[in-house]
Parts: sequence; structure tokens; C-alpha cells
Amino acid sequence: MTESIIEVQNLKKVFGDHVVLTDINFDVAQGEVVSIIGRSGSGKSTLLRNINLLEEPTAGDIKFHGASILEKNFDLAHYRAKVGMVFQSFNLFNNLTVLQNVVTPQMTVLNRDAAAAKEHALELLHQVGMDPFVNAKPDQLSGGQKQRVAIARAVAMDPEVLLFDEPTSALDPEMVDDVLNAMKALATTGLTMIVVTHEMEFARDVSDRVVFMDQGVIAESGTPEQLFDHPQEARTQEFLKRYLNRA
Amino acid sequence: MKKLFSAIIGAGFALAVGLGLAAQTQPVQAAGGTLKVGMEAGYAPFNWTQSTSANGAVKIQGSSDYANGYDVQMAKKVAKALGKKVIVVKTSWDGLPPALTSGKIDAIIAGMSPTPERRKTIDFSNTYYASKLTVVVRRDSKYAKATSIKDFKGAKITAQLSTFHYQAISQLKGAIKEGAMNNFPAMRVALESGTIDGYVSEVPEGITASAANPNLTYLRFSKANGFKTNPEDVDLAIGLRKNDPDKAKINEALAKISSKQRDQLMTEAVANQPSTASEGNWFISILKQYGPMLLRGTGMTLLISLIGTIVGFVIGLLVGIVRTIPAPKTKGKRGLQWFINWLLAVYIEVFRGTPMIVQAAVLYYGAAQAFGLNMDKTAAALVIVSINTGAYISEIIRGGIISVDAGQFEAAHALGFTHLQTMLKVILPQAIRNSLPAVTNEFIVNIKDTSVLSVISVSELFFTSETVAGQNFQFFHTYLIVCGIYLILTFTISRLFRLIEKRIDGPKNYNVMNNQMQVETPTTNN
Repeated sequence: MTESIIEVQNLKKVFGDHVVLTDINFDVAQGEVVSIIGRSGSGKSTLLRNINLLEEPTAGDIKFHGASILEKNFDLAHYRAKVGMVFQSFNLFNNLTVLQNVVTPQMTVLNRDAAAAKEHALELLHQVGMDPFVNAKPDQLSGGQKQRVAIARAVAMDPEVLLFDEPTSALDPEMVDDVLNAMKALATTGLTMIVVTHEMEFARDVSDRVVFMDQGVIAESGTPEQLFDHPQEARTQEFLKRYLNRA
Repeated sequence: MKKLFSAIIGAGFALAVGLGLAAQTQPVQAAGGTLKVGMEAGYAPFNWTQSTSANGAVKIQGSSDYANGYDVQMAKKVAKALGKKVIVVKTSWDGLPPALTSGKIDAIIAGMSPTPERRKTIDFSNTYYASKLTVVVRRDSKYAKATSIKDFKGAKITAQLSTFHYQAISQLKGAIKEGAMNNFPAMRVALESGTIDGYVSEVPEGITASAANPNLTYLRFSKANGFKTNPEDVDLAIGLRKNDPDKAKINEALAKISSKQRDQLMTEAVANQPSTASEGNWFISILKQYGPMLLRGTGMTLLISLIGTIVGFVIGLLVGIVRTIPAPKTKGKRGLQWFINWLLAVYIEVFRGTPMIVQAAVLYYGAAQAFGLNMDKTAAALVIVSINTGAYISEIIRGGIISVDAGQFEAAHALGFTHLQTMLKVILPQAIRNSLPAVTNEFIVNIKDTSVLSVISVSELFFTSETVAGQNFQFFHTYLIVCGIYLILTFTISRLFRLIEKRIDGPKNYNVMNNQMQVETPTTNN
């Protein structure tokens, strides 16, 4: 194993009286692809949003390359550029075209010049098959198309880590494959990825490691083979049985 | 965050400097060369507005129109005796005393009587015209034959607000005292339409009304049967600031003008007052005679509402950005944020919660009286409309920002945008788009609401139309034309903003770049 790029230590998150994350300890190595599975409400998305600091942790620590991201003088904008996020609801900027969606963040946050940003954007949009739609507005695209643009937007920042928050959950079944293919292609480039997903097949085929979360804790984690074929915990077995039967 | 604060402080500073400069543009004229005389320029034959310098008219300050009448001629004689030049400052009746005490004018020569109430705040010269009270009635009404003030049983009578005319109604035994009205044009309309049976006024005004409108006449009472009046009331005097050093000289000058000369001046004034007889098509004749005046009024209305809306919009944006800054981590900064938000809330509540007409009066007259800050009328109007609009648009923009999906903020933050970057590149473009229909409303409201600025005598469209109607007595026709002008303005603006909205939305169709057929068809009709 190489050096850990992200370390989550004793992370606790409370919303009012509701404890969402009890005590999470979780490391991700450089270049690793980790899938997080579990029931709705088990805290998967909250964990991801804490890593990105869209939510403030209640207690515990999160480290990026060994440095705590909760330090007072931590450069949050730089960190967020390095740790990208793809959302369940896409969240493309509605006022911008497809191309501008991918170009603007590069110019705003990374201070790239317009020509370089555009070139980079077109290349990435081509990779996800969205280059014919550069002039379209988000409203004019289907969900699968939007999500591929959102992936291109996140990748354009040249991140070290990409967080995916149920990227296919809001899509029609026939759209899911396009998005998963784009993600598979990214996984082979050596990008570190943390994917919250209900796509068991994707988790099994693409991940280096699968984490099963239940009631605010990590119940079990291991290689896809270990977790899917030989789950140790009873609650993991029960979850997988329901899921795999349905599929 | 620091950048944002400095940007806001910078903007605030620029605004303050701007206000300061605007206030400096017209400093109080040193009393030496000029005598600034306030009058309504709409109370013929004492004073009226005309568009040429004929018959010795004097130019109205800040306008290309001229004032003339008995008061103007008297002002010239007085100024000559003082060795000064007359400047006429057109001021609404209620605005005259505050304009005098705040130093915006040096004298009121506007057919004003030296009542004890007025003497409490301002001083008066000796009489420059002695008048008599009369009642103006419809020629065909039974009151037209009245020979005594006892003949008005059951008559609905009114008079101008804050004049002794109104108190004199009590002497008409059995008459019904209607609510006081703001100006003579309004009373003439009310009289003609039958809402009232007569109004109390002074003989010169009665002569004018009956000459202008054949349906109206005024009554002559013998001394025994007429109004009992206080010489302080019927005598007209020049209003002066207390302890005005020129008072003695002015009285001396007035003493030299004999009553015969005064009668002569009045006769001339009645003869010279603007013709009210319309020939041919009323529409063309009004446009011919008053077209340029109305056009200037329209221009002023458009200028004030346009600049007011634009500046208000910028204020609204800034306030909107500041009010949505996420809570900072440190306690000190949180305290500062709370304080700034509290200030902004106070600003919004105060300016949204008080009438613009009151704000204008406070800023223009109040600031001059309390702090000696003598603002230009137009500058004061621009400031008030801008600040007032800013308060409304702040809330409109805040609503627009709230209506933008939270995911847009999250996506921008997740990409590493700062709050200001998120606002400028992502949120505000959407918030502004969402707010545009409401901003259009504000603009249209501004076009109409600038009419309240007549309180500080800004010659916008409504104030101008009051002057025109007061002179040609064609109330219905004049106001109909003005209605048309307002409608054209507001309709054009609502269409224009629809175009802007469409432009922001962009074409509904997009080009799929590898399909040449579609590249050719970026249609805009959708």
C-alpha cells in the first residue's frame, strides 16, 4: 500500500439530537477506488460531505496528505479544487452552457487562461461523449448527459481525489451505463475515487475496496471478493441478500 | 471574505463621496448678487409659468421655462431697489416656508398673507397687495346670484389647504365645509364636475378663473355683506427669514410703489396671463403650447426613475450579497456580521416602511434646516429614489437568491469557489434572472411614483402637468395626454425588459456541433 491520501479519524457528526456518524475511522490510499455501500440513512453521503467540508464535523479529524483540513489556516479553496465532488442531483450551473460549466471553475479557482481551460474542457467532454453539446444549457440535457458533464467538470480541475455521491441514483436505468462507463474509464487512470453507490456490480468490478456502512459506523470493509462473497457480519449478509435478490 | 468587505466599504465610501459632491454642487448663494424668490409659478395672475420671456418674464431656476405675473414684476422692483438680480425658484405651496427657512430661497413672493401662524416661523414685509375674499361658483348654479355671505345655506364649499381662505368658510352661514384641497387647479376641476359648489379665494384668482372658464364666475360682495377679514390675511406680503437685514430696504422699496401703480400691475398681469382659449383641435393646441414643457417633464421623470432604478439595483445586489454571507467561524467576525446585517435590516425597514414623499421632504428640507446641507433638488430626488428603490430591490434580490437551488451553492463551494465568486459567477446571474420581472415592476412603480417628488418641486412630468393644467384650465385634456405619456413610458419599459429576459435566457435551441444541418438553424422564435 502507498501513502494514505485521506485519513478520517474518529469522525462524529450530529444534526441536532440526531447522531448520523458515530465514530468513523477510514483511510484511503493514493490511487485507490473505494466504494461505500449501505442502506439509505446509514450515513454514507454525510461521510462524503464531511470529507469535502460541505458539512462541518462535530468531532474527530480529517487529514489530507497528513495535514488536518480542520486547521484554522487550512486553504479550503485549494483543498476543494484537489478533492472534487460529483453530486446525485448533478448541480450543473444552470446559467452556464455545458462548455462554460467546465471552463469557468478552471479559470475561477485555478486561474487558468481561457484558451487552456477550453482546450482541457473540450478534451474531457469528448472523453465522456458530451462534446456535441457544448452550447447546450443544462435544462436542455437528460440526466445521464448532465452527470457526464458534471464528471468532466470535476475532472477538469485535475483533482487528486474525486468523491461521487450516488452519481447514478437519479438516473433512468438506460442512462446509468453511460455514466458508469465514464467512471470506469476514470478509475483506470489512477485517480483516487470514493464512490457512494447502490450499484453493486460497479462496486464489485471497479473498486479496490468496498466499505459497508450501517447506522453511522463502518460495519465491515474489505476487497470486493471478501465483502460480496464472504461477508463476515450478519447485517452485511442481510443487506447483500436483499440487494442481490432484487437485482 | 476580506476582499468582499473592502469592496463593500469602498462602494459605501464612493456613495458617500458622491452624495457629498452632489450636495456641494449648489451651495447657498452668497447674498450679494441675487435675490432668490420662491413661488408656485401656477397661481395666475400672481404668478404663472410660460415658455417665452415675453412681457418681462424671468427665467425659472434649473428650467428652460419662464415665470411671470404680479409677483414676478413686484420681485423685479424689489430686487432693483436692493441692487440684486431676481432668480425665480419654482416651489410648491407647502414647500415655500421650509424652502425659505432652510435657505433655498431668500423671499416668498407668492400671494402669501402674513398670518400669525406663519409669523411664528418666518417674517413678513409690509403689504405689497391688498386683496378681498370672494367665492368662485358655477355660473349656472343658484349660488351665482348670491349677494351676501349668508346666501350659502347647504352649499359645499372648500378652499386651499393651509390658507386663511379655508377658515373663512365658517363665515358662510350654513355652508358645508368640505375637505381642503391642495391647489387651485384641483378646486376648479372639483367645481366644474359638481363635487363642490364653490371655493373661497381672492378676487384676482376669481377674475382669472372666470376669464379662463366661461362656466365659472366669482362673486362681489358689498362691504357689509362680505367676509370679515383680518388685514393680516387679505394683505399679501413678502415672506422673509427672521432678522433678514434687507427687510427695511424692502419695505422702503414697497412704500414707493403707489396703490395706483399696484392696480396697474395687476391689470397688466391679468391681461398677460397665459391664454386659456383653445383654438382648433385641443390635442394639437396643448402639444403646440406646452409640448416642450411636457417633454422636459417626461425627460426628468425618465431620468430620475432610470437612474434611481439602476442605482437601487446595485444597492440591492450589494445588500443581497452581504446578507447571504455564510456565518464566519470566529466570534469577532460573527459579531461584525450580525451588526452589519442589523444595520441593513434597519435600512430596509425604514425606507420600505415610510412613504417616499416623507423621505423626500425630510432629506431636502430637513437636512437643509438641521445641518445646513443644501442639496440640489434633482440630486435629492435621485438620492431618495435610489435609496428607496434599493430597499425594495434588496428584498427582491434576496428572494431571488433564496430561490436558487441549494445544490448550485454546494457545487460551487465543492469546486473551491469563494462566496463572492459563487455569487458573481453562479448565483447572482440566476437570482437576477429570477428577479427581473419584479425589478421591472419597481422601474414602472418608480416612473409613476416620482410624481410624489413634486413635494420638493422637482419638475417631473406630474408637477409639469399640474402647472400646464393650472394655466390652460383644460384639466381633463391635459391629464389625458399625461396619462398617455405615462402609459407609453411604462409599456415601452415592460416590453424592453421582456427582451432583456429573453436575451438572458438565450436561444431555446442549441447547435449539436457535429451535425451541420442543425448548425444552420439557431432560431430565435420559440
